[in-house]
Amino acid sequence: MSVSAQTLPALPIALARRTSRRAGVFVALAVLLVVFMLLNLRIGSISYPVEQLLGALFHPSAQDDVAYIVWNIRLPRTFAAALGGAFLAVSGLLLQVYFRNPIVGPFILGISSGSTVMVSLVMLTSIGLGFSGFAPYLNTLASCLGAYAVTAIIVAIAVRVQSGVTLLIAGLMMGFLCGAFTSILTALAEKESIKGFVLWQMGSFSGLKWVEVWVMVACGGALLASTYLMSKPLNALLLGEEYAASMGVNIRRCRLLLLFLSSSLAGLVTAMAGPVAFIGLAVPHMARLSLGTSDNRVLLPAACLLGALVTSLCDLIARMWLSPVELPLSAITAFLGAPLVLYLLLKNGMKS
Amino acid sequence: MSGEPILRTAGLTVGYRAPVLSGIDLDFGRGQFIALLGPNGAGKTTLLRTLSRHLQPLAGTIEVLGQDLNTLPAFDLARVVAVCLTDNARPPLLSVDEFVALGRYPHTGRMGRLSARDTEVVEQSLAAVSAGELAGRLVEQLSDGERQKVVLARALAQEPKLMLLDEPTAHLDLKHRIEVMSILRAQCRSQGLTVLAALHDIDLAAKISDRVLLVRDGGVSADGLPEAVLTGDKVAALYDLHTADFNRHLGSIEFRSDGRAGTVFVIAGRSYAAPLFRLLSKKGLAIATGVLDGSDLDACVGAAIGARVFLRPTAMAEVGPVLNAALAACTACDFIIDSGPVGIEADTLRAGAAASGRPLLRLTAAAIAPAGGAERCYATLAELSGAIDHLPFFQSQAAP
Amino acid sequence: MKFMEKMTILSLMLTLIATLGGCDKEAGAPEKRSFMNIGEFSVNPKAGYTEVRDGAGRKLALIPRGGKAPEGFAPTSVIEVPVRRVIAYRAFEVGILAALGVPETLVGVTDPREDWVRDDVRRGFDEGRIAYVGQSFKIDFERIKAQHPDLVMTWDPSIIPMMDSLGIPVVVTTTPVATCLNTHMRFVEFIAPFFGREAQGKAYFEQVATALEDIRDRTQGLPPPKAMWGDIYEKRVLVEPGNAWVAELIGLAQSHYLFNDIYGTSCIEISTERFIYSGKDADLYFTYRTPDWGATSKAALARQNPLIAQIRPLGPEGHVYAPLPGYAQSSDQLDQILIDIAAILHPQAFPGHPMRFFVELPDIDPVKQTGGT
Repeated sequence: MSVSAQTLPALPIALARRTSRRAGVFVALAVLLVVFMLLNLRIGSISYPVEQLLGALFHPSAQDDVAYIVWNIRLPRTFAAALGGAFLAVSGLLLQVYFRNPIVGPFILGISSGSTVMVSLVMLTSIGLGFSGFAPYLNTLASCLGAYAVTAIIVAIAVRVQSGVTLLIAGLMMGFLCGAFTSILTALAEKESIKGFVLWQMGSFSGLKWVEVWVMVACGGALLASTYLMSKPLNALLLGEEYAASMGVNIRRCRLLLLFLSSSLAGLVTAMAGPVAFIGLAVPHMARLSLGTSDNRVLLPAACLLGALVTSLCDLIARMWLSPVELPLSAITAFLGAPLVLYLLLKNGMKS
Repeated sequence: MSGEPILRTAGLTVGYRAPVLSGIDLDFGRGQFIALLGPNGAGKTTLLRTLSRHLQPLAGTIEVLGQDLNTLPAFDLARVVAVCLTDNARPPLLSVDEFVALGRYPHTGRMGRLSARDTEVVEQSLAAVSAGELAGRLVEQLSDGERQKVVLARALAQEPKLMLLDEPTAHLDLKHRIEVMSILRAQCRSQGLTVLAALHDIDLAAKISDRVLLVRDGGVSADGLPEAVLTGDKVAALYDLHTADFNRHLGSIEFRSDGRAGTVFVIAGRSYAAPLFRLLSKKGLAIATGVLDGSDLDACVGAAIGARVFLRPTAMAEVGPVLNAALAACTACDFIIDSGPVGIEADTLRAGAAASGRPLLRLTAAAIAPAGGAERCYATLAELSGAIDHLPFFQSQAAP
Repeated sequence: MKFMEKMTILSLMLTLIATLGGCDKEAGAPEKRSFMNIGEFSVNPKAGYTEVRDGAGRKLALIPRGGKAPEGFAPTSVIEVPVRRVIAYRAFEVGILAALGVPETLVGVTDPREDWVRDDVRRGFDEGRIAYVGQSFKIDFERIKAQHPDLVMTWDPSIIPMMDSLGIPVVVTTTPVATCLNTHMRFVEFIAPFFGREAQGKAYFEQVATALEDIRDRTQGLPPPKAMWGDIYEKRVLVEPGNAWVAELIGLAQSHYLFNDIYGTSCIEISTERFIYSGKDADLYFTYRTPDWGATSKAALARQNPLIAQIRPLGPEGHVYAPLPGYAQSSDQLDQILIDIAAILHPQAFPGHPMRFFVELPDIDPVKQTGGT
């Protein structure tokens, strides 16, 4: 092969420019994430001087209000929001790559609907009273069970069908089924119990306990690591299943693993915080645009950082805008996410 | 072509549930450019998908480098066979070099990190399709032609021994069509790559491929050198052609005139008249022409277009009877065109035409009317075309 | 779409739960402002009829039975009084009917018999006079029609077109801006003209006002306890805002309501942080949940929500009170409810007062666990 002299430098220059841009974006994301997480620790409906907060931070066992609020409320919530955002963003990214569809989010396959059904069973019927031993974690367990039951069904369907579109429709149908079941339960429920359920459906990182945060760290960490190991086949999937198969990707195994990882991440967040909208849909786009690439080896960590960052910011806004009144987190994320998705759709529409 | 065949099939039946093609026995050697021809829906894509293991064969065996396709590990297969599909991947925000580097998939490690050699192959692949300058651009922003070259580069980066392509030149302009085909052929020659490409463009296939497979009616109907396989009859049968003919000498398709608009006699010879024939054919005129040498291009094109060609007899035979027949045809036509050949036969026909009183149009290099001639003279085909449109009989023909 | 749906349900729920509403700060001086023009409500006597503006701002004409309808009112906006058959959406209105002495006019409610603790309503069901007409947000129009009501009292303006076509007059009895104590007390005077019971309405208001005066007198100068009112559902905290009538009452009863700075609809979500911060100071905590819904003891509350275990009322020096089911259905005993709350805040000022609408939670569950409903 002969290489003409003028074409040679293009590639190294492009590579160098790209590398420096990516490094810049990553540093910026990391710094911003730290800033927002610190802000989430710093700002709350009760304001404390910085020294007092720092003191509490370094003396977790102190028996005062500050230590209690910092260690039991602000810290778990800050971490939960960051982790939850990261998980949702990665979950959404996986499905967007798999379906090659930019408007797919982590809940498109009915994960949150599955959680909702189980939570509604616990909250809206007297079933929950039979398990009062699990009291503080009952909802979390129920939600987890629901999310993973739906995941199992989706994966079982994925084994049988070839086409992504069929799977997408199957997911939507799961959502409708679960929704129908939930609405029947709601119709039969006592007013008193609907209150808590409606709140749960709006999703929030409020009131998470350390145990739950540790579960998120442990399970989510393992899931994220597995996801990162999948970034090579994910990249091949950018060209579609046929090309990926021709390059040596085991499509069936890859698809199942991908669905499992995505659903597990989304299910984990839903279990802890209820359905949080739009993060999983919008953040992958933001990551792609800010880095200017679809290379998942870069996008996955970026989506993690950006998801954590955006969710931290949204949670801060939800907590502080009308403090101490809490606004629904999904409302804030939707305010941010919906215009972005709309913009992307319009932009794509104009191109084609 | 030596050594083990790249790909061999025996008694292969392909299809989705129901067989589409059956009894396929193929044997591809190194460095061959094989064109897969056949009408839409004949099963070209099905065959390609089966050979690339996207589709399970319904019967028979496929061997790649002597190994059963079914038992070949995915990565090993990907290092031998690369594909270019019609579904043109257009991933958003992926640069050309990243796209091409995806072709290194079966060669890289767990995380797909590119080694120095991988980068080198990517560069070479881009250079091979002369798209080196596209490296930093985004795939979604390329033109169709540029993208197709990049798609080829990706397949090349896989360093395959066999490349399966499904209509690689669809939607491309002439320049890119030729470029893509040239790149493939160059790879066959220089790298020993075997190419199996489903093509629609029979002209191009005939001229570029080493071998053609004709696919029709549930099987491979012919397999061999294009020069041997692609006869006018075979091509007409392959595509069910009624209004056009493939001319193996010209290597192209010529449309036949239905002759409804009238008849014309062209005094032709010396290969001047080929474009004129096409012009007249498109006007729907039945053409007669003579008297021509069998080796004359005019005779070749005339025959392809369905004209009645009066050929000068070979060797010892007398020209007289042919000339008389031509003269009779000439004077019976609605009008006559003189494309300006020299020779006794041409002069005879001219004289006969002038005597017949039929309109005589003359195409000359310079529009100089010969003294005393009743004929009209035109310097270009365009002028001649206009003049034909104004002939009284032609107008009355065309009017209703 | 889904989100909007949830928001709608939530707002409906908030409206529902706000059976004993509150109102904006401006209306916070009960003595000065007349009920006659609080929020959207107004009652204006005109020649030959009474013009009433309801919670949705609709004008209704109340005419004597057999009287002539005034000009400019649609047929279903003209109501012949006294009304004889009425369907009420909220328990609060049912209580008001009793306060006005016309409980027998009630022919339909939106809760099934087993949810009622009121004897008069249960009896009405047993006699076949009262029908359950479906849940308030999916009402059964056929059942309503079959009850032949003269009037439907609702919070839901969306049923008006259907009711118009059925020829049944509707009065919207809630308004988003009238949730203060004064509205709460004077609401009876808005309902009274529909039954020609203006005198009873006034008397009932006076009775409640007197009770309020009494509370004020008795609690004068006592050391103010700090109270909080709300609940934590799993991980989320809902409280009564400072503009709710209970908050106002707590203020009037010489006590300090800890969420006075929070403004909003009844039952609003606040940060856990704030709840706990305020809770560390509180002497008293009123839950939303009744004992049937899990508020059986301090230990039970702490177990369900370990985060709030730290608040002072759940500790040994604190007190936690849960409402009894009758609380939400006894708007005809508003004076007693006010006194109950005042007695909880200042037990020393109401020696020997028998608590009827609240129960103080024990430290630990009674031996037999309360389960189910």
